Amino acid sequence: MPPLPLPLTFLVLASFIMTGCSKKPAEVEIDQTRETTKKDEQVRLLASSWQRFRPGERHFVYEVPEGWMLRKSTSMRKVNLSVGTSFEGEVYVSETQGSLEENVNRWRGQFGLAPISAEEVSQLPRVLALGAELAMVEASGAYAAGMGRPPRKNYALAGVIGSTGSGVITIKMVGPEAVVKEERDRFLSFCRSLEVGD
Amino acid sequence: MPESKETKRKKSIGARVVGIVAGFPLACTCLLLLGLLTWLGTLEQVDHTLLATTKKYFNYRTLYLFPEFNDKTVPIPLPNGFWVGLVFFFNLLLGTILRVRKSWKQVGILISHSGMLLLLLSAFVTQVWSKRGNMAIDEGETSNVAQHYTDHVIEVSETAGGSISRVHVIGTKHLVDLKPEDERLFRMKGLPFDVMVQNYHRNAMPHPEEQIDLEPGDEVIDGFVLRGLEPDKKEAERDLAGCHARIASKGGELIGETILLSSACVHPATFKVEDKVYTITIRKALWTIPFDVQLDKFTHEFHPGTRRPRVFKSEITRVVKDEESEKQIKTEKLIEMNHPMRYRGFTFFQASWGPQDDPAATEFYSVFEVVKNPADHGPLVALIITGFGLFVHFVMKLVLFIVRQIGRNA
Repeated sequence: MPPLPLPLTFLVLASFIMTGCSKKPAEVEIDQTRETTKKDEQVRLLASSWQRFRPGERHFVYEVPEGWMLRKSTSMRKVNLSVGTSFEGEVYVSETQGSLEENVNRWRGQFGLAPISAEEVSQLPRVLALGAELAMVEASGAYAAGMGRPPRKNYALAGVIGSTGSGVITIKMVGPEAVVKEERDRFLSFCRSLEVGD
Repeated sequence: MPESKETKRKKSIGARVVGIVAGFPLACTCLLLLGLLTWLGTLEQVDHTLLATTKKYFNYRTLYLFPEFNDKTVPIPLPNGFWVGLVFFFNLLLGTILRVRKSWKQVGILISHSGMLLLLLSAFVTQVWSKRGNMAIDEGETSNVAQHYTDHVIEVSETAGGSISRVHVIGTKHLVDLKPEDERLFRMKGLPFDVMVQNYHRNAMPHPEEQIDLEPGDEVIDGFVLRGLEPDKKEAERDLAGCHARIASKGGELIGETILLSSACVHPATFKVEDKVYTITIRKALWTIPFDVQLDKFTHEFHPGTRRPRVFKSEITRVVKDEESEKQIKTEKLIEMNHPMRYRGFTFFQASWGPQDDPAATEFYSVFEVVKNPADHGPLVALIITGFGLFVHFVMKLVLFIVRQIGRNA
């Protein structure tokens, strides 16, 4: 076999080298260690994902009932879910300003109901949510969510509301009356599972 | 006769090549290019960081570059400063050996040339062997560790008594070639398991699943999803790598759940193998400093009515453990802008501070750029040698001129 011309030899060799370079190893042995440092002393073992990636950020942990759909949270809706066969109802957890009484009456006002007194608010039925007994508000009728949107007829509300130090926390299910009635037990189960995460 | 002609022709080609390489025109070209690159780099680092610009303009990994000005690429390729410097080094070396006349009258020139050669050599050593990182310390706190600006590593740690006892490091070189679609098994020496890395991103961010719209292919791991981002071309030190890790038995069987790793995390993930607790995390590479630095006080002042810094200074205590007596030797030092602390081959520059967005802050942290550079003093020594050589040369010229004038007048 005649010898290859020099440039061709170079090209063949180069292509071999390039092929070798581009092949990524599937396995690598690791024997490198480093000394422990002062940074290692600050490490927290068994940290949750939230503690690892979003330390200090308030968040909720909960169980999503069967048939419910988790939706993207927003600044106003810390937890955001859709319910119903066509997901026409919604459940969301919010933190808002104002007193318990003001917020209960705001909800009632959305259904055209008259405000109630602080004493009547204190007598509202209680359900377990966020590890405490919180007030439950139920209403039905024409729902005017506000913000200029027209009222929606035959709607219903099942909401749980409780005071925090600086405002109130609300868990609200709102949707067509039939959907709210159908999902009420699952909503209460969702409230029981809801906790503030670590 | 034809043979001698051939020899003569060969010699003349060789001589011509040497003549070009050691020539004055090449020296001028190199100097002009270095000046141009420095000027363009200085302009570019206004929009990009100093680190990114230095990497772009003086990097042995690329042969040429396209300058950018006002975020627009100038379509003129320029040779990379590293290679121009290397060519200039050999040009100067050959020029000094072959062209400079070897007589006592040229001793000043020879000295100044050797100073310039040392300067270029120092630049080469700095480029190839220097190490840079940063160390952030809160007032009253102590640190002995610097963090690399861009290089990421995966650390698997053994624990004892609730704290880290030994750290195994999967180095940057084993991660940089990984793409999201790749997976690699790391056989961990000294550990009873191996680590499989998948879905590696040079830049990524973990998101809580409820805060994003899930897309096909998204893997929710403990409530979080890792989303890849485009690596930051301008400020690579902002990139935060992320990946999925699986723990595998020594037989290759995957055990346990997938673990999400992100350089944006504060704490490592914890897992158990054979009832022993381990941690795993991805982070910027750490390197240990052989002494402690305690930040006693940070002071900052601005020029009146502006955010232009007038004084940034950190009062620190350097704590060194005496190897013989095991006693701690404490030395108080001041690190401020343009006045770094040099000790045991490390240089600490005042680089940044915080919190800068809280005007009412009373407690501060200081950030030092930590540099370990074997050629740290090279430029200073080189400039002294070059200056001395030029001084000798001009003095000799002056003396010779005076002697010649006296001779003429006599």
